[in-house]
Amino acid sequence: MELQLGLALPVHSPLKLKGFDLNDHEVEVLNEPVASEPWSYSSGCLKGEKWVKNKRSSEEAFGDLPQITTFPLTLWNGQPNEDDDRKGEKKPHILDKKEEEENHVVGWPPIKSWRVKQLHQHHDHDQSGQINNADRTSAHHQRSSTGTGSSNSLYVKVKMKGVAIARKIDLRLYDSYQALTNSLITMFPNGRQNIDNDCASYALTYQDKDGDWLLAGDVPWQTFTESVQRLEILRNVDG
Amino acid sequence: MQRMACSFPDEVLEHVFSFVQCDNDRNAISTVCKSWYKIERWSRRRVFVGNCYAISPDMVIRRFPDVRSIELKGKPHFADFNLVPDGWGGYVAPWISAMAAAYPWLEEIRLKRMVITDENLELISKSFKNFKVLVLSSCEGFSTDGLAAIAANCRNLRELDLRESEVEDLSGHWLKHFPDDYTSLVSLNIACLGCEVSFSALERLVGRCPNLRTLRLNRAVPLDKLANLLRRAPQLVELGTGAYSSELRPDVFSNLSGAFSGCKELKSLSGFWDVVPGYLPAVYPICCRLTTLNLSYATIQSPDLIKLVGQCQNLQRLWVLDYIEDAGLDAVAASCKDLRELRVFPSDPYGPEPNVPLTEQGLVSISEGCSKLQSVLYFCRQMSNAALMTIARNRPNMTRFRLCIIEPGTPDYLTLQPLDVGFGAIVEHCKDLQRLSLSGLLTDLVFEYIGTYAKKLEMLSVAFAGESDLGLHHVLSGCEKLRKLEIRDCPFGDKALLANAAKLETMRSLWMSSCSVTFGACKLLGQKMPRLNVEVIDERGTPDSRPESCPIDKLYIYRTVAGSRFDMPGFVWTIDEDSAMRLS
Repeated sequence: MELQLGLALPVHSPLKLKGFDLNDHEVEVLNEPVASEPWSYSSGCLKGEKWVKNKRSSEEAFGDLPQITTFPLTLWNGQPNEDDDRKGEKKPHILDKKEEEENHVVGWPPIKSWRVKQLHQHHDHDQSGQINNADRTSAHHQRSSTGTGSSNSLYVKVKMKGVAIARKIDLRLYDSYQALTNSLITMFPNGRQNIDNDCASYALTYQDKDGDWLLAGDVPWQTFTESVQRLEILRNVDG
Repeated sequence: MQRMACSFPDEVLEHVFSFVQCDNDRNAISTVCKSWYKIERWSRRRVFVGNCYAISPDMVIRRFPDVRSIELKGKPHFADFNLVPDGWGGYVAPWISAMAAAYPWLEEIRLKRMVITDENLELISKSFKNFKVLVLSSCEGFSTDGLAAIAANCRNLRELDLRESEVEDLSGHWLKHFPDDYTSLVSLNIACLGCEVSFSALERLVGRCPNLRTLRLNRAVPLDKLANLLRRAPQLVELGTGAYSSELRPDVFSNLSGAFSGCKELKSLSGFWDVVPGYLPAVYPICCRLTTLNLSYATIQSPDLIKLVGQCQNLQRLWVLDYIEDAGLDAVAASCKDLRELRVFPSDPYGPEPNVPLTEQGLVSISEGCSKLQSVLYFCRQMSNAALMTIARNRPNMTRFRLCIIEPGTPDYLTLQPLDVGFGAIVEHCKDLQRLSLSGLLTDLVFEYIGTYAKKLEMLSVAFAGESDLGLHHVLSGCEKLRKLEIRDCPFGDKALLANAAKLETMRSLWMSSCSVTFGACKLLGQKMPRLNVEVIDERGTPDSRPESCPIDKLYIYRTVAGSRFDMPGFVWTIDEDSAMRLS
């Protein structure tokens, strides 16, 4: 199972352009008036026979695209909660996470990232039970039962030297440096290739509250999670 | 005409022109004759730049030497949904430094999706002697230190609006930097700030600004502080509350209710974070005056929402979460006859199953009950062609229709057909439609409808739709007024793009990601159309390393008179005339 880093899922197979030769047609295509030969498009033709014809063709198309309708969209805020982890002991929870990330389409549904952040906070507040109100418990339970609420998510950005795409992870899902590094290494392409090699060829650094970059592992895990602002994975030269 | 125009002294014409506010009208004036061009140029006070890379700051300054208000936009709209990589651009720095030298009397800066640093904010605060308005909408790159500089130095500041910006919270004390004798604040929006602000400073500020009309607090301001603030500013017209939760106590409730009752001008409410429904009746006394209600951050269940909106008969704009349910929208349709704009956001967008009974029926009810409805943003999980046709027939006056069916490629749930006919009805009936977002299962047919009927469409968003180049071709060749087109995950490719290359120069921008456009076509386009910047965005590395027939990741095309930009990160490639020649 391969992780697709930040790329939208290839829903459609790339379109085959029948013999579209750029060198032959470039001038023609650009100079031709709009709506010319390939489609012989006449405007205002949506009535009568054309309507029927188009309808048929759209039905055909519907048959071509079945995978779209069953497109799985999972939650990126729905990290497996601790209970799930214990139940599925055979399956290390990094797998669950991988599945989610793989299935999640970046930027869909189209909700502003700022709003998504607010949504997270809502869920967090619900979970931490700061607000006790009988009217809200039904909604609260609904959400926890679908596993959407993660308790006090703590998202930090992770970069890997030489990899353009950064990731965001929820530190609350990990309970030790070991669990974190194991998970991180599978998230980045270089790491995946070297997964059989020793983890020691990577160094995990983090920026603390004061803005200083430090090597992870020197302070207790709890202290680390309270202070960490962002993470960066460095490759040891001798690794 | 020429002689007539010349017979007026310049001062008279200038005075006449001052009544013309609309940018398009002013542009038209400037093309009448040289003399009008000159007068208009010197008297233009407001400039709007829809894409900060479409023109250079120097060109704007040369053309309009005495501007007082500027509005700039940076990143493409899809940046809102994380589709534009961090570091893409949209830096305001060159604009600020050029304007600091050229426009000492600049009063207003409005930015959207731009990167602005603390240094830029400091430069603003020190360069413009009579600076009044700073609106940062979905901006980033700055911290509360920059805001402190604005507070400390802009003695005439009227408006500070941070909208949905990402602000690094270094200190809540920045509010203390407003001088003690500063009293000119009219509008303050700090709803996006994460950390606590100094409450005593806020209270003093609110108390000493008699003209304060808009106050939008952040979540960190607790409910028990709200009543005090309201009593200090009973003249407020727009209020965004902080966290709206507290242990339910009769004395707290009556204090709050009394404070709301004292605000005779309140017309707009937002905020309500972490709302405790027991406190909602505190706003009932002012509900009948409300025209705007934004509950899109408030998890209020349907029964409480129904009670609330039932009191808001004059509501014109309503934003809610889908907790309102179909039943709640029925209630809105029955009681809010003046409603113009409705937005319904999903409470659980990433869940696989619906978590609330909100369907197409809610929107159908609204379209039946609210005859003034013009603008819709609606997230739901099922839709039918029949519903869309009903909505279209009910509300031909709609100008903005954005529908998001959460699962991509969802067909009409009744017939399992594509939703082409339904969206077709929308564009056919709503003759003044300016903005449209499509979702659900759609074939090329829907684009034929759009190209044929949507003659006033200015912005179109498309995702997971269409079958071939024909779809894109219909839109580009048919929609005469189209200015912005954004497409993701559609099988549209080179042919449609190249055949309509000239059309792209009439538009502000085209975004295509995860489509079927090849690098070869981009090169060709860049070469043939020197007035277009063709940006290939690909974090996987240079597109040259793959075959030219390989589809590129992201494409952003925009017209420009400024040429290539100079602040591109490593993952963006532009194809200008020279490089295209070199590469081919």
